[in-house]
Amino acid sequence: MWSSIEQIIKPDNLNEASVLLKEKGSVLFAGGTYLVAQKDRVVHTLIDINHLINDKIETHGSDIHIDAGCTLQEIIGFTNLPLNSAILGACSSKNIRNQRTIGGEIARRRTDSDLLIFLFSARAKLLIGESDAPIELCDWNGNGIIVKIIIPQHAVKLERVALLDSAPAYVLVGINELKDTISVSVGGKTSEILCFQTKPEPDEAEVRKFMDEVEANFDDDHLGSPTYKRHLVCKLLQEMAVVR
Amino acid sequence: MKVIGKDTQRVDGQALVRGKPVFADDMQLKDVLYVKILHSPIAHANILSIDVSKAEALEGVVAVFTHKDFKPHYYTTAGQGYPEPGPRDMRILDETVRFVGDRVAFVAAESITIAEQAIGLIDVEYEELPCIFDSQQSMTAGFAIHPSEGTSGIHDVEKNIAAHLDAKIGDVEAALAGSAHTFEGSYSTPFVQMAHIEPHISLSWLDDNNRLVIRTSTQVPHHVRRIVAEVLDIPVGRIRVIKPRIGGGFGGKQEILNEEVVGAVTLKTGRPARIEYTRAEELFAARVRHPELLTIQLGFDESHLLTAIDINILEDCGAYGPHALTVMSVTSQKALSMYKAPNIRVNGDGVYTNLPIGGAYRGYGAPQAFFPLESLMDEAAMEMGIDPIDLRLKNVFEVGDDVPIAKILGEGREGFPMVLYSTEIAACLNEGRALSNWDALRSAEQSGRFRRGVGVAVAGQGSGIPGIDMGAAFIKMNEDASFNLQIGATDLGTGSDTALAQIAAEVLNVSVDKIIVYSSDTDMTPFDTGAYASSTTYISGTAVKKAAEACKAMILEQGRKLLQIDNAEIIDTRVVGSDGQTISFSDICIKSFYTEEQTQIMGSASHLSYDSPPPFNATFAEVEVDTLTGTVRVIKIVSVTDAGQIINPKMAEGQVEGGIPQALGMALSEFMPFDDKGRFTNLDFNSYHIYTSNDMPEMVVRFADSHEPTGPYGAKAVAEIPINAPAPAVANAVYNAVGVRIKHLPIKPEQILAGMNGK
Repeated sequence: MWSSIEQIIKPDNLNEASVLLKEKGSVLFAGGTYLVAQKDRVVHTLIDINHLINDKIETHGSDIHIDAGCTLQEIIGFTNLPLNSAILGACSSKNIRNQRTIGGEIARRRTDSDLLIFLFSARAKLLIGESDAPIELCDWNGNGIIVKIIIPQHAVKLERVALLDSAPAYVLVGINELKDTISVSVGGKTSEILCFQTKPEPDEAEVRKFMDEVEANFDDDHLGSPTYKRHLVCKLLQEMAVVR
Repeated sequence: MKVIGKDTQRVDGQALVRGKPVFADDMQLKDVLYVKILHSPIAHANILSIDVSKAEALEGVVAVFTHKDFKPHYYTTAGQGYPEPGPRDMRILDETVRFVGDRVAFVAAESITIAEQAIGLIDVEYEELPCIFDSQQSMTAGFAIHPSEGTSGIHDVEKNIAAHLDAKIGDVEAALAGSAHTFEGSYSTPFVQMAHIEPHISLSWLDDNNRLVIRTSTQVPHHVRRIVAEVLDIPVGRIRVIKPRIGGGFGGKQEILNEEVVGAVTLKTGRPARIEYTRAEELFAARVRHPELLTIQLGFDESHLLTAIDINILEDCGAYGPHALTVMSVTSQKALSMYKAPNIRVNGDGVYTNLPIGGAYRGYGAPQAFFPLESLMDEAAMEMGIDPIDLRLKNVFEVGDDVPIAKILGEGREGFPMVLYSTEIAACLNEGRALSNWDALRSAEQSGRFRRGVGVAVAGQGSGIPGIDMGAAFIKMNEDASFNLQIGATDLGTGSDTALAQIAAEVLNVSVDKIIVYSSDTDMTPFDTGAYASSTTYISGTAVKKAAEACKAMILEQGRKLLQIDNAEIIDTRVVGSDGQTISFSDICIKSFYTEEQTQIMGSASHLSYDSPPPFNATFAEVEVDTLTGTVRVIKIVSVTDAGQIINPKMAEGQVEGGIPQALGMALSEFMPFDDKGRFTNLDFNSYHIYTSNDMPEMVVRFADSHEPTGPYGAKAVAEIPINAPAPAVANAVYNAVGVRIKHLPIKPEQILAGMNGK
């Protein structure tokens, strides 16, 4: 624990946690792995929600329901290979996976999280707080406390481009080709995760517009130029897509 | 030999694996003050004013230090020989800051939080000055980063040249003009950081006699004592420096980084003080490897024998030049000690920029030498149509050869003659050829998205600095025939305490557990220049061997006296007289302590060498290049080393396996980008990517059967040599895989794609 932390509060319910969260210098605490890495000096209160979120994983038909308190390592032990690869890419350390929760990983909204790109591509839904109405992950504004993640039936493929297997990817591309729609998500070292949904026969102008957005979303840095990164996205989509 | 060449439990192993409080920060000091440094946010500026009143008024702040608290005194932070070969261009706190991370002030407070808050309350008015972020523009910038007044040892203040060297043998120009084949290339190696897991940590306090005690994670306790005494203007005898266990140093702790800071706090307040760098501070404010730009020309005759090597070096020293001359000397000396070209020439300038400070990092200039040299050798082999291994075998120095560059170019001064008494580099290459499956891989057809390639590189290093590095040891005997070995040598996690115990044990015919090692305490152990330049096994090891031999001679002498016989010898742990009488070591010691011929059985010795036998290494890298993305994955590294007689195989293997990932990081993943203000942007391990165990390729580590006659039991060094060759081996493998020649590290995937597309 770092020195600026003054208190750890265990609220009675999610509503109380949400109210407490509005206080300046307060953050939610579940696995704590990002908090430890951050050691943000303005944080003085941790709101422990471990007792308020569950950690079950269930299948409901073709959907997978994962409670927000599940650790990444627990999910690896339960679910399918593409999701597991995404988790391993997002967090290569088993020690950290043993601690980090899926809720925390989503709340962090890392653009270079393989898991986030997977979930965006899979069109995952979230249950927030006490609400029973799931919302699309891509529509979530970051407010509220995630309690459950619902991953619908999908055919997600994911490609990552990174300097090392253990390093965050600088380009992440996910594609989910279903019968009626194709969902594409692009992340990495980007300012935001970009999503694109289309019919199986996409409009060329729309694709070009999306790719322009993708290019603009990348920095020109030591990892390469935006043009190079756009090239990677194009090539990787071509590599993964069933429909070319 | 009973102990040498055998694996043994590390003498510090139990304490480490049991989590005993062995590291610098494991000590709890009463009433300790926490020290934080205010680092400059600006790359080059004069401090017009500095107001610490708000910081001093903060409850819990005990002292705030600025340049006004110290007399101007220039020194070097390099913990190397004395007088130091590098420029004296740094002050503990200065009115001018010269890189983002330079010290502006420091605060001592009752807690870290208060110290951090206080740092934020210091008001500094800066006058921004022009900056240099490109070493190629340094000499012609038109302004000087350092003043001429007060500083010393700077080669050319006005041109920002911290250090310069040139040397030549023969007539390089004529030789190149007359060569059947000539090749030229410019190559660069980047900033990289040592990334030791334990950061720089120093604690200080006053002992009962009002002496300053500094417990610090250092590789050079005796240099710390000397330099802190100088900076704080107190006698050396008033300072004790203790080096506990260290969580990695790799050269980064061959620096007096913060010891003088905690010392100043303790002397002013009378209270214990503690400073610990954060990871971000390690990355932007500690030390880095000097980037170098080398232009090399090679000439070959019709038989592919080298006729000439010409090297031009531009070294980026960063804002200060603690190792400016010596790193560049090592680059030159190692590059010209590998191949026997009759005509050689080197010219080098180490220049200042407004970027982080170049320091000592494993290899110390040699990785900067071998990436260009071994890349160009590969290019030459391809052009001349000869197998790269065969080209090297034709040209490497052999046993009995004189290595002429060693005499004219030492480390920061003229050197000493060097004759090779041992080299098994040919054996290393031949064994590596087989282990890497070289012939099959080189001829394999490549197609598809992922292409495999294999490359080779060779390298040399040294075993201590000839004529400079000195180690000393003291051994005393106890009643149970155990021995206290006291050494100045510094184990920075390498296991050198164990290796030195093995040497003592071998001499004294006892098991390693009979040797009780205490090292690196300036009050309690003899002098040693410290753990750098691959010196510990060769230099300190010989001192231990000599001390143990002296102790053993005294045991024999005491045994003879106690047996009252003229002729006796030592067999196992007994003195055996020619008449058949025997007496055990233990009885000799007990009688010598308490009853007869009373004396302390002990031995002491120092060692300095004018030889520095090079260990050699051949590294083979197998890589896979993704032709769609340009990324490179290393599949396998074969590293075959001639380090003379290996003292402890497991620990030596560990040295090699530790050096490889650091070299791969320099080649492929460790980027130190700066923004247009000179601010380093990768400030954590989430963005500064060092190789982890998950990233490591298959490693095949072997040692050649070798014996160095000048070394203890035939040993040479093993600490630095493994880091020198992997980067060029990887670059050469990339060329073999996709035909793209990489000349600037780290390798950028986009460059590979561009190269494949002929751009």
